[in-house]
Amino acid sequence: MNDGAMRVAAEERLFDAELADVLEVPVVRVAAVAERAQRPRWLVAAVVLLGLAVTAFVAFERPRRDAAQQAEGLEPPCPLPIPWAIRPADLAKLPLDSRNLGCSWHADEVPDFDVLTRFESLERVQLQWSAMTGEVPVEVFRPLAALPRLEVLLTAVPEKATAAHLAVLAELPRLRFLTLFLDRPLSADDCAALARAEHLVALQLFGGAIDAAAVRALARLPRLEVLGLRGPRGATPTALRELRGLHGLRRLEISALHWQPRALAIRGVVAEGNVGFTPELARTLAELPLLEEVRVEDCAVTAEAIACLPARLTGFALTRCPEAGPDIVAAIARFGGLKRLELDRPEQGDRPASRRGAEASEKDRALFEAQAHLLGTLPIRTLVYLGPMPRAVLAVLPRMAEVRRVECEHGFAADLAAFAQAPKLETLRLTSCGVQVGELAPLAASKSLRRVELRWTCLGETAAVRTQLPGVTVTDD
Amino acid sequence: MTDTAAGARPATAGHEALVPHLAMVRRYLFVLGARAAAVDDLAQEAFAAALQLPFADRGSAAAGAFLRAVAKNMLLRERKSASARREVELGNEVWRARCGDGDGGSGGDGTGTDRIAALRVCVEALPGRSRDLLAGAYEEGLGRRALAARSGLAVFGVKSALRRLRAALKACVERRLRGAR
Repeated sequence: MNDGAMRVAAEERLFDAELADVLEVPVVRVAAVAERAQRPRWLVAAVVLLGLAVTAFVAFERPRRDAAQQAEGLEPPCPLPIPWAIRPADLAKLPLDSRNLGCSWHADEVPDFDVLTRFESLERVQLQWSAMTGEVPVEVFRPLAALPRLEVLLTAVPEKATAAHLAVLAELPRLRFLTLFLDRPLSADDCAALARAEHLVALQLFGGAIDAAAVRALARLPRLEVLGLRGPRGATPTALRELRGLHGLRRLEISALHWQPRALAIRGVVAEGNVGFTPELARTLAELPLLEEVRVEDCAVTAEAIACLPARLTGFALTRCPEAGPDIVAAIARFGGLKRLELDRPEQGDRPASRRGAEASEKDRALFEAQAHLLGTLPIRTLVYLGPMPRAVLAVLPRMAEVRRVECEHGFAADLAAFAQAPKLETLRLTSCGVQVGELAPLAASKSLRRVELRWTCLGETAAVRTQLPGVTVTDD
Repeated sequence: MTDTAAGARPATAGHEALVPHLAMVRRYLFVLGARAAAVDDLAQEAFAAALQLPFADRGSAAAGAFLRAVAKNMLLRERKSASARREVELGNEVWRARCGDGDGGSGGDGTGTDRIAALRVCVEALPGRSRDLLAGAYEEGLGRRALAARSGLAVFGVKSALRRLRAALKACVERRLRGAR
């Protein structure tokens, strides 16, 4: 309090004291009335301080928490490179400090995973084995428990692997992300065995089959937040209805639950019994209180189904669904708080979309316009686009006021200058994009770009890219 | 304020001249920043301390100045930080500006008696409704809600009415003092 304020306060106290004398009441009573009158000022100060505290929290703590979540988040770490040993003997040639590797065993070979324990830095490992002949010991996965940093495991589950084998796998001390390539149906006993994995947050199931009992048993996994169902047979309405028991689920990834006629024409595969992404499945998901993201890939989907999803979703992906037209893309607009969106340029007929942006059909142009309208409407922060980015989508980038990160995969943007005009774009990742070094030069005009991540793009020319983009961190994986 | 709280007895005939100033000392201590709840105790302590000091009765103004000096020093002894001591000094400046310093040079005898008298006249001249509001707030200690119910004002209106009433009383006091001078 400065001198002026102290003088004013003293004047007020003088009047209070005089009034107390005149009214013949203790000064404490007059002072109490004055304090009550002052209280709102303190309230205002308290509200202001609270506001400042909230602002400080949002400004400082939230990013820290986000960063922490990134480290402990829902995306599995995938340090690069990923050296692969096509037979166990080749493991001897790999660096001992490898953090990520894969290894294959002969179809008839029963693997001995003990050979992996030399790699003490391993965080992620992929095991390709089938053990067509011979007995598979129940303890086959036990040696992996000696890897102190192993968080991500991708492994085949041959027909001979039982729930007892999975129970051993579930005891890996730091296992958080598990992907199972199923050569047999997943049973309720298997899920019960996996429930011992107390740190497991993400489970991806490829192939195999599921039934209602198995899906119901998944609810026993104590920390399951991400579930991927990628082409399992038996994904019937009855089985998928059991997803309602997965109360902790935050993200569901479904793939090839029911391929569309156009996709079937391309791939010639029939998924028997599966129903695709239906309104009924969407209504089941709407019952999950924590669900925040749905990724639909390679799957029959309708606008009605999207309309049945909870509007609170912050992440959505709709890729490799060539039957998904403008009406379905437009339906995504109902997720008004969407932060992450993944779209693609659909494959064309029986051939993939041209990397150099083939002539779009009339139908595709309508789709691209719908995509562009969607991107211009929603507060997207992360955009993932698979395939060549259409001109309509490129044109909307400068109007995407919130976008911080764009990932382009298997495509090529005709004019990268559009990226430089995105007002807050900080990170651009180009994966398997047919980009020449000189074509990245327009990015130098961006005022916000801080990082360019090249993955299988401009191979061996990173130094030249860095020269072109001063002040931008360029990584080459 | 009344003098009944003062329990100390004058030690000498000269000290008897201090007794009428107890109410003034309470007001003075409050203006200097003493907590309202502690004002009575501090005033008694100041009076008791004054009794231990040699004092010759040289009139009411001198007696008041003597007591204020003792009270101020007691308060300063309690205040450790520079800003708290500054508050005491500024309170003293306000007192001297408004009530005089007892040497006849500041338009008062240092006791603020003329201000009290002027305020008493102003309070008595208040309209009935304002007088009721004043009595309810300060004499009966009613809260804003009760005052609003009694006076027919909105709850937020009570605060404004009290603020206007205080401003009117201050203006009235200043007017009367200017007229008296």
